Amino acid sequence: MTLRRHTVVATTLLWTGCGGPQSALSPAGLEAERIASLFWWMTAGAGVVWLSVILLAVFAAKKRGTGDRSREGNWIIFGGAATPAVVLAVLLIFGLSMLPDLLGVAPKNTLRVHVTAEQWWWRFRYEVPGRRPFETANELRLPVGEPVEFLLHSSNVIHSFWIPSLGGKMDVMPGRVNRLVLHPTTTGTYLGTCAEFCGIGHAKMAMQAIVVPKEAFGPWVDTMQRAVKP
Amino acid sequence: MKAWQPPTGWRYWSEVNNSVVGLWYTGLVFFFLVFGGLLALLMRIQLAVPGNTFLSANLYSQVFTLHGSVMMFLFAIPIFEAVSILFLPQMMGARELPFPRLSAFGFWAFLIGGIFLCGSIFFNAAPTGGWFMYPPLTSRYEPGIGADMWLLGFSFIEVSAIAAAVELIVGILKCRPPGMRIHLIPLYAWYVLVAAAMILFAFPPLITGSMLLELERAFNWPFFDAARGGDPLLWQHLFWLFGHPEVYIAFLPSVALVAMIVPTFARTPIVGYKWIVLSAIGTAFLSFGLWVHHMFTTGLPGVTLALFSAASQAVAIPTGVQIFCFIATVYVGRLRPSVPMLYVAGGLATFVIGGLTGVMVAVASFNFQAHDTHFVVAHLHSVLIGGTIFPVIAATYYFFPLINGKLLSERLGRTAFWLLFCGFNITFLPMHFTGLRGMARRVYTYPAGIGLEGLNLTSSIGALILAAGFGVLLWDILRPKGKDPDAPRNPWQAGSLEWLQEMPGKPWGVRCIPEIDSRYPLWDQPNFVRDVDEGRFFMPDAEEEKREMLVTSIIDAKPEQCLRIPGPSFITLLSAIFLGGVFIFPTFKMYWSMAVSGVVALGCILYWLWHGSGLIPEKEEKAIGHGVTVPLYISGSSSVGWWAMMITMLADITAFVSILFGYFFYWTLHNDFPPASIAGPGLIWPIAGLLASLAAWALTMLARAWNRQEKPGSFYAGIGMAVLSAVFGIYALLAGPKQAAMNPEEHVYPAMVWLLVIWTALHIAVGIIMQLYCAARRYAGRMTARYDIDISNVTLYWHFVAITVGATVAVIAGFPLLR
Repeated sequence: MTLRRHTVVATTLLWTGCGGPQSALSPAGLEAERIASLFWWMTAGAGVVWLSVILLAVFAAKKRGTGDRSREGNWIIFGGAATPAVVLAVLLIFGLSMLPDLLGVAPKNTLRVHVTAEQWWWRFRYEVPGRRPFETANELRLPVGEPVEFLLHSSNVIHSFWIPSLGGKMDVMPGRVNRLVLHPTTTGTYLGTCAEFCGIGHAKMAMQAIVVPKEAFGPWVDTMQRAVKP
Repeated sequence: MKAWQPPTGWRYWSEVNNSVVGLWYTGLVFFFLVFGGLLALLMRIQLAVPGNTFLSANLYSQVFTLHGSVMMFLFAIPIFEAVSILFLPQMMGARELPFPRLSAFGFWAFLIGGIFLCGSIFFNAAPTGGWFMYPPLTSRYEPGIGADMWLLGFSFIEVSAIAAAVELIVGILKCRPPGMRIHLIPLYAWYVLVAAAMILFAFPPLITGSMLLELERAFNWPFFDAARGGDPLLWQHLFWLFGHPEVYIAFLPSVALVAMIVPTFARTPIVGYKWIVLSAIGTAFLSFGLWVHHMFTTGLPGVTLALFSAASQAVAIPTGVQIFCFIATVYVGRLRPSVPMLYVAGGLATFVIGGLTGVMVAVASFNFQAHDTHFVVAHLHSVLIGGTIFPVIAATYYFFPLINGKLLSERLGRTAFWLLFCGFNITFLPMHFTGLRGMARRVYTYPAGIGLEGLNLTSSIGALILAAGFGVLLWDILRPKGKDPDAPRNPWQAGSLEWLQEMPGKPWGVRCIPEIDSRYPLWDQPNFVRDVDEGRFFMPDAEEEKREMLVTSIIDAKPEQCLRIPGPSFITLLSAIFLGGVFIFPTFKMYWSMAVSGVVALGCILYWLWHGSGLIPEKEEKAIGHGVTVPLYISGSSSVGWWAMMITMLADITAFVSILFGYFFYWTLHNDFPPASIAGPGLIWPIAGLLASLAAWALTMLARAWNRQEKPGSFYAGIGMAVLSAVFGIYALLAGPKQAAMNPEEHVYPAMVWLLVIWTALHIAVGIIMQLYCAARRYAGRMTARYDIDISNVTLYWHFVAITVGATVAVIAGFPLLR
């Protein structure tokens, strides 16, 4: 009951802004924060570029042509080639410099969760260092401020594991085990979904990730442990 | 000029002339655009509110799969082929394209394939795997015939697209007017040349991929089944190796339309002609190196992501150059406002948004969030509607007088524009945020309360406005125009050749073939229209009552041949019907019907070639005016037939290389390929097959020489021995995996070996039919020492067979040794 109230409160608070419990624009994890700020910077830049192109086009259309072709190279070289090249180079350096972190390897003794994508639900198998493994379905519980490494398995079709508020998505491929590391930074309940079309139940293949304070995580693991026969 | 009159009555449908076939083709493509648009409307109705039950999950899957596929395969690509068949000859002052029956065949194949695919949804049997058809969903989790229809039906349509590409390339290379040297070619033709060349290299990987997937579906060959050594990622590589260039194949010809429209209304020649040509070519090259940006979330290493991010960004530069050339042209000239320019401007504003969001999603880091969400839906529609649909509508308003001599309505055109432009932005601008707020693609519904309701409802309302815009546009095109006055000749005061046409136009196109020394002859060459009308240039009359056109050299456009082209015939329709059977019957697992249909199709095609190609003229050469005399028959590398064979075989060898790509993909990525437990085909049989096939190839070349030296005995003996060697070659190649008892269902390795040898054997078999055809032609007196185009082109085919056999044997016999 408290859980549901928690969800409802979080939902109403967030969805009025850019957010919602499933929004990449209301980040609650390190990866999502980086990508969201990249998005806003790029959007601002794109706005400037778009406006410049349109203003130049309007200027060209309004100006009474002189038939003077002596400066035609300037338009092409500066407008079409040089400016984009510089802008794109900056963007590449900025955008790709965060790749190593986004694709980072988790340190040893990180909480590991084996995600198995079924048609059409999520099976989570927890490997907490020093504890017996246990499983949950469609519900993740993660300690805030700690990295968590997901190992993604599928024995049927391709799915994609995506919790927008925490970070980017990663495909779940039969025959491969992909990895994804996330760092939740804010407690709360976040929704996730399958992002690769996986059949008739694709739209309903949802999950939730409940990010809890560190001190609440241990007791939860204990509870789950008791449910598993030794 | 009677030769060019279209037949009347029911025989009208046997016409092959470009202006008639091009019109059918364009009309049909617009029909598919409307059909695809209605499917989109159904989706927007379903998504208007959360939890809607208007469409079921299954039907929604059919609708989005068909929407994407129809728009890509039945609209975006064919619209440029259709428009080019319709207008390209006029733009180059030519009477026709060099292979009119091939155009007609392409049209009929497109019609049959398109109706087959679109019809499926009315039987609740359409494919449901999405337009990119990712296995294993489409290989092992989609029972029913939907996926088979997609794989086979679109392969058939891709064959027709390649046929049109061959036609257009040869047309642009060899059928330009005298004097139209390579730097005077209209920009439209340049772009079409680039796009058609891209088709040759982009479509074959998809045809190969479809073949692998269909073999897995029909015969359980495990190309994409991870449990038996296959890999679902191979499909994604092959698909996007096609899929990304495909976007530019749709986009470049639309820019080409803009490149024809802008100078007319700016009243000045285009600025930066060479820059535009180089940019188009640069875009084409780059577009083959970007495909992995559709696969950024598949778990590839960071280095790969960074490389493909950079390449994807780079393509923005040639695109920027082209846009700035247009802006500079408007700047230099004096812009005259008009409906076509309105659509060009709207397209620019929309396309630039799509280009910028494209740059954003090309940054791998951001792509992790945006990929497979409605953000990408918004991005791709900005690019395709801004970059393709708006220019196509601009061109519709611009070129319409060339079709029936009437102008479209300015008032309706403006009304439609504002509805389309506002409708588009209301639909797709909010969708960027819908996606980032967590709405994945291809969901038939979404939950309430997570911030998606308002955005989706807005998009759905926008879609209705967009639909209204298309309604107005269609009405303007289809409304009866009998009472409208004829448009004046050259109504926009354009400078390019197509506006020579009288209003309304004539089936033979131009009165005579002009000599060109400018990019804008109507502006620059004095008395040009009068000289053309009075027949003062080349080939003003067809004395022999035959359809004739001028063939010129590739670089300098010097007259080389007066080409007789075939007239109306139903054989193209029959060939398309029976070849269609080869693709349609296996959908229903009717393999015997498929075989019969294939044999009849082969018969039709041989009949078509026998009576329609390589005809021996009644005289050696013909005077075409101005004291110039050209031959009526040439063979070898100056002839259009040689080029058509060359270009077709480039596409064919690309499909073969795609199969090899699959082999190397498994070989590099999978440690157990080839697996130690499975024996390969060995060395003896493959090498025997190689030697026999090379002997057949050498004998074919000798037969060509003996034919030329008028040694019929040696010629027939050479052909006979070539056929025998080729038959033994087929036997030996197939014997390799057969003797080693390789079972293609067991593992991907034997499946790959079998596929390579069967592919090669089929090519040798076609080569045998060609050899026998040459012998029959000689025997029937249709091929002689002088008139030897048949054996000349067959030899060219055999060069490619030799390459194919060599590569196949090197791989299947050689690679297991490297283990």
